[in-house]
Amino acid sequence: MKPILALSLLALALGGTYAATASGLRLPEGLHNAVKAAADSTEAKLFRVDSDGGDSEGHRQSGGQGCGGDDEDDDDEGGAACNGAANPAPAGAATPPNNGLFGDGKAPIVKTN
Amino acid sequence: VKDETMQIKTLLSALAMTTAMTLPGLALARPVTLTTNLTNYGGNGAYLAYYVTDSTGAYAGSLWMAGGRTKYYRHLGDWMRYTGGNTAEVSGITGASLGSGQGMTLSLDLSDKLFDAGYTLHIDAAVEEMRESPNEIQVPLTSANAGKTVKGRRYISNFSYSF
Repeated sequence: MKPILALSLLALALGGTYAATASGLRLPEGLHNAVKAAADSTEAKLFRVDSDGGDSEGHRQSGGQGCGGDDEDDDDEGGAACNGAANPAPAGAATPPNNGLFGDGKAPIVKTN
Repeated sequence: VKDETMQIKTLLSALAMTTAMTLPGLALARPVTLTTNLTNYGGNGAYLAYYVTDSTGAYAGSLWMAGGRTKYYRHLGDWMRYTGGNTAEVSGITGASLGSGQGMTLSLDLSDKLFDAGYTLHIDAAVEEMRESPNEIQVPLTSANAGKTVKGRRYISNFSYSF
């Protein structure tokens, strides 16, 4: 009987904690941090991926598996990439791939306006 | 005199042979300019994957990747399907993503075998938080199509290539 009672009290305490958090009540700092950490650990990062090919519009996919979300930094410089793959070498820093499409390994020249 | 004539004939034969072997090599590639203009879609920089399929529809290789972060490549749907996102496919042929309303001119030295041989150039486009646009441009690589403008569907206003 005592274990059941203890579990019930624990559940009530946790429920009350979440209710308090949701209603904006201020919790003791330690408890607040513990609740926040627990919530963060279970939160799935979602980002929007729209497809032009199908009828489904604005469906969501999980950004998990260590890829990071699309909502992270957006610069084109360096950094690790999805699945541990490094970002490709920029033009001029390496010869074009030997795929038989390029004539003599010259780096492409790009101009934008 | 007879010996000299023979030597000259031998030299001429050798010259003819080396010329015949060299000229096709010189004609294997040609400078090609790809011009892409984007619409004013009003979002972040567009990622564009330029790649080629052969006459059977099989992936032949990539020509350019506008956008350097691989984590966004999964939104370039057809290119991803063909390559599995292998960054080696675009190593040395990658540049920055292209902004809304911007234009880009690419100068490439491409193999002659790509033209008038059933190859097709494709461009996949994607913009963060906006709809993906795989195969937005699809144009057969032929001499007849050189200089002709092809309209895009969503992010690409128009595209053309020229020799």
